[in-house]
Amino acid sequence: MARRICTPMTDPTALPALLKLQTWLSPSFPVGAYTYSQGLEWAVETGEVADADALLHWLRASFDHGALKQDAALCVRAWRLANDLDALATLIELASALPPSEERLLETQAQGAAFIKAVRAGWPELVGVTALAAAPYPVAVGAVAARAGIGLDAALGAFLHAGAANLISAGIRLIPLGQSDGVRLIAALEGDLIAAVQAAIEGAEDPAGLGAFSPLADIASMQHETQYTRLFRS
Amino acid sequence: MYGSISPSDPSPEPTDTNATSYATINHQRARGLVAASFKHDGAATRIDRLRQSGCGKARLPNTFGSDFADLVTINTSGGLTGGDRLDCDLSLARDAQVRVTTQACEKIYRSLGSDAHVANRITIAEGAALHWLPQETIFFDRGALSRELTIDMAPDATLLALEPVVFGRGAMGETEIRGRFFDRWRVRIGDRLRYAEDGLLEGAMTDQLRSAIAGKGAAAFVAGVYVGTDLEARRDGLRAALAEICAFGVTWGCSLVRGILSLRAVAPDSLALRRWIAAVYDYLGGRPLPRAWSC
Repeated sequence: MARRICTPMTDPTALPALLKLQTWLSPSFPVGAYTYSQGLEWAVETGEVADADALLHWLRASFDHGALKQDAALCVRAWRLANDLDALATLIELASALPPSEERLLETQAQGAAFIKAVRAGWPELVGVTALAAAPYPVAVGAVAARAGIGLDAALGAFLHAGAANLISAGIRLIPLGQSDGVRLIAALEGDLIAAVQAAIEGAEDPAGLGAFSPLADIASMQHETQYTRLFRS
Repeated sequence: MYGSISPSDPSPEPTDTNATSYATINHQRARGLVAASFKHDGAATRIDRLRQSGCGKARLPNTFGSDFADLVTINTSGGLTGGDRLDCDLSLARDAQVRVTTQACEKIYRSLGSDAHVANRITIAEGAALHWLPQETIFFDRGALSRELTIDMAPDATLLALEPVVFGRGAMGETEIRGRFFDRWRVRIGDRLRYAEDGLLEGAMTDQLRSAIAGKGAAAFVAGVYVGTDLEARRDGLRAALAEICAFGVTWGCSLVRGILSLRAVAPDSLALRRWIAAVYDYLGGRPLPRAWSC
């Protein structure tokens, strides 16, 4: 009878990459992710997102045609352009011009700047380029991962996972949901997340690849500016 | 051979097996260009040069007592389908004040494969002002549109641009829509990119439009920008002035970002959307909508 064998990780670069991604995209990495909700706080306030099911749909839609899709596409482009400084500067300008509201811009710029600063503290050799200091969050993550020699699918998967987990954590606090609901959501989203990674990588050269359509989420983040009581900065 | 370019004449249904042969037939396609430049001669804004070609036409109605010159663009082909192309190049010299609208709603008819292309390129010099107010684009089932609005403006120029779009003809029972809608905006102020948008709906568009982040089943949408003076006061004033509009089922928002007032509205139908646009234009533009809107 054959004995079941656990195969050890054989790719010598895989473990260092995994460890870096675990650090950089952990909720404890000092980018302040827990203070941003991408307008979800307003959607909970209005009753639009009132339970775990509604949050699941909100996140699925975001992967399919919303902010998470656009962030994935920006991350892919940054990873590919990490060593082309002119193209990276153009991408940073575009990524900074895309957020449709003040708080969405704050969210991506403040996390990007904090990410670069934190990476500099631990891995100064990866962020020698001054242009990166102004990179919005998905561009910062994509470019730094490429410079660290981390594969695109792993980097993008970890980035999107952190983004979704952060919104689930926001939902747990806002709706509120139980911890088990949160775990069920992240499990239910695994297929969507993998599909989003594949779609973003396949669309790397598509001129419409950054395209998204989420006017109600955009409006939610605009309305959030005047929300009376709030926990989140976006 | 002309059947498939006539919007009222249904063309045969392409199926998976013969779609390729339809796509390779060389259909007659519409091409249109309107190129106009305006200047201010010290007393009023005047048309400087106007070029029209193909299905692109323009009219300059008298605007008695208005400090803005009106330009009304016309697509004489009556709508766009795959492979059609419309271009509009506008240039506003120093201090010119121009208002642009369309004579009718632009209709995006069913495409046999490729996109219809619309490219609007605009430069606005120092002290000049543009109000870009096309009537709504109506997107039919299996339409395919790729549209670009590229604006280069001087730091002290004024811009109000609102682009409405309605998906499907609800009155005709067209509620399930497939197709492709790509809407690109690039606004540069003094050579710096300050506003970019890549709006994309693709495939089963109705499914995407139904989501809680997109439209929750709404059919009418508008994206817009305003660039001018006193933006913070205008943002707060607009929020106060339009507080009542939600009664018409319109969900909307505005935000001051990168020196631009960014605007979004979602409405159940074009009637509600037009009420919102009229209210926004009254507040930010200080005047009623062009006459073409009510003809």
